[in-house]
Amino acid sequence: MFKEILKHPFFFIVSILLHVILATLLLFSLDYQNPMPMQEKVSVMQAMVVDEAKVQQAMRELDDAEEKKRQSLADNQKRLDDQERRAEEAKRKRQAEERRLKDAEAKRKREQQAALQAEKKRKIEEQAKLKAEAEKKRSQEAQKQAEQAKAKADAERKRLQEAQRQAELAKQKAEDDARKAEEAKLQADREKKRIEEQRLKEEEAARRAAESDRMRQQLEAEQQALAAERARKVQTEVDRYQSLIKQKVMSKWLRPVNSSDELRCVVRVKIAPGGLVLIAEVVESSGNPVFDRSVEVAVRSAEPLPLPADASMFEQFREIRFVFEPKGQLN
Amino acid sequence: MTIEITQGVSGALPIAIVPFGSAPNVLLSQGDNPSDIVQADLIRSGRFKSVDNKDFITQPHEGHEVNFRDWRLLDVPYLLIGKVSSGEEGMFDIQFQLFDVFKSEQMEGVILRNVEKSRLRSAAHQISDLVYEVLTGEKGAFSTRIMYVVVEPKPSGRHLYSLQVADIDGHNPKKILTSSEPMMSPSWSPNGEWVAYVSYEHDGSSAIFVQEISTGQRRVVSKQPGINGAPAWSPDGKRLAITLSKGSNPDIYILDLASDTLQRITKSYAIDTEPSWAPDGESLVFTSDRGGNPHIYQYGFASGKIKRLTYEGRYNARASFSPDGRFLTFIHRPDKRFNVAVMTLSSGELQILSDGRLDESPSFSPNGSMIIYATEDDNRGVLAAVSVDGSVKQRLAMQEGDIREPAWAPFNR
Repeated sequence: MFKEILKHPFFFIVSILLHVILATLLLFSLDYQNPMPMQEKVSVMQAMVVDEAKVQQAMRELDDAEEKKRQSLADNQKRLDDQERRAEEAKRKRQAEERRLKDAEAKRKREQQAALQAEKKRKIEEQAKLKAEAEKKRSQEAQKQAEQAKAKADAERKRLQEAQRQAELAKQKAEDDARKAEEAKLQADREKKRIEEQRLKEEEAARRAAESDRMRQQLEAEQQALAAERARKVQTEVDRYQSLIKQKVMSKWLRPVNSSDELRCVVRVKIAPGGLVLIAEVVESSGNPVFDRSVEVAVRSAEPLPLPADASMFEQFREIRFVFEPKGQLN
Repeated sequence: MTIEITQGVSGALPIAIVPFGSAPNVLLSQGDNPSDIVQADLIRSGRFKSVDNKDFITQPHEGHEVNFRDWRLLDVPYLLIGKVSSGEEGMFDIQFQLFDVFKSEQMEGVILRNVEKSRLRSAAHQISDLVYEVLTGEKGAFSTRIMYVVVEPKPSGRHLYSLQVADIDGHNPKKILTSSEPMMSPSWSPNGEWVAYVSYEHDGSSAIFVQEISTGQRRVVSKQPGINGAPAWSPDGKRLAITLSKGSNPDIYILDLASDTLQRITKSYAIDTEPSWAPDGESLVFTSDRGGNPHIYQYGFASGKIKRLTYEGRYNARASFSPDGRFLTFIHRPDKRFNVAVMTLSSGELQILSDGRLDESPSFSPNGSMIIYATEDDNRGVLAAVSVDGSVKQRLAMQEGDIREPAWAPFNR
């Protein structure tokens, strides 16, 4: 209801006015002796809106006017209520008066005067009525003007809205274009970035591959170096013990006196862990039994042959060929 | 794995010789145990060293008693055990066994049956020869003999000279000639049956004799005016190289024993003496002072040329060859002394083996392992032997007398 009122403030105001007039007329018709003061006055702002701001201003002013109207309507209502209440009272009074008139003929003069007064009042009422009509007409005119203004404002607003819409469309389009351009740019950037990333990725992959290659090679090299190192250590150890065995056998070899430098004897020796000589057999005789035996005795009496503590190296010592080949004369 | 051994150590072979056991009815006098004689022989050769028998864990006499581990603990590669038991008619049986300790094998085992008591030492030398030959591959010379001159003072103030033959350890000496006149330069014939020597028994002048040892029969082969000296048998036993002065400077001649003909080898104004044959008979060495001092020279029969062999020192004399012809031994004078030296002919390298004040007459054992020579001890001549490497020197046990000019016999044939 209130929304309806807000929607159609003019009609509401008009209806109120009509109510007021009717009530007034009723009042006057009932009791001319108690004329009610004219209080209601509705003004309508005329507004020419040339731009949005003005439209807005106008609308705000309209709203203000409507608010004022609403306020005045509320006041009127209150007053109407008061009037009704007073009319009720007047009615009671009138009834009382009528009773009093009936009772008191004396008051007929005053009634005449009242009639005159009423006539005067009627004239005034007439004037008021004319004035109201003029007012009504003016109000209608104002309303019309307001409507026109409103229409104009609406049109203007519409135009503005359209312009705004156009502007917004343009803006939208521009924005779309910009966005599209942006998107294209982004797309391009993304593509570029993707390509760059791809390139980086490939580079990274290549780098990693190279790195891993390098690492692998390095690892291999290190392993090889380690293996070589171990082999070298093993070899060093083997060499060391080979040398120790050689020294021990040499220290045990009592080379026969007067034995020729030409003699050469090969003994194959099978060795048990711990350096024990299992078998020592002459596989290539020097042809000189004493020389051969000296060699055999040297090997056997060198027992236990020094062997590395590392059992894994034992394999290399399991069988040893001793080549006895004297170089130079005995001292 | 192959290990090359290019050097060994020089030195004597360790051998454990367990005193031979003897049956209760066999009484051996001190030093007569064959094992003692064998041990002395082997050690004297310079090729062996014995392990002190105080270290022996067991004293086996027969193979089944041997625990090789005991001997391996002593790190001794060879073990000799044996026993003497009674044989027929008061004679002895001598058994010995030689073991390779590391191989746990017997290398030699022999029983010498029915050995007379007087032959016990010879039997022991025979064992020494066998052991020596098995272990060194060379023939042992322990059963060979030596010959030497003994000068004994007589109560009359004169001297008694004798030519004696003994075992190489000086035991069992036998006089093959005695004389009141000097005798010198004994020389064995190659077969060991004859001896040549110089004697002054005829009118106090020198003559060269050859004598058969077994019979004592002898004859004069050279009695030239002047010096008749230093006979040396040729390897074929048919000739003697001798020194003759014939009233002039001594020179070297070859005397053919069958024909009594002389061939002059040297002709110089110097003294040429002390000839000695090379084993191959193709050359002689002799002492000459043709260079001012006595040195050793070599004469080649094929070339007729003379070559100087020694340059070291100012005195080198009395040379003789080793049996294999590779070495010479002679007296070298390093300072004021006269010592036995060995020279390697191929290199000219000289090694001095003895250390006496006046050592003389070195001569190789027939196996070349030792050299016997005469040396001075308390102003008395004694015999000594040295191993060719100089490692072992030993005086030989001899009876009284001044002993000179030893000569080592060839192998018995």
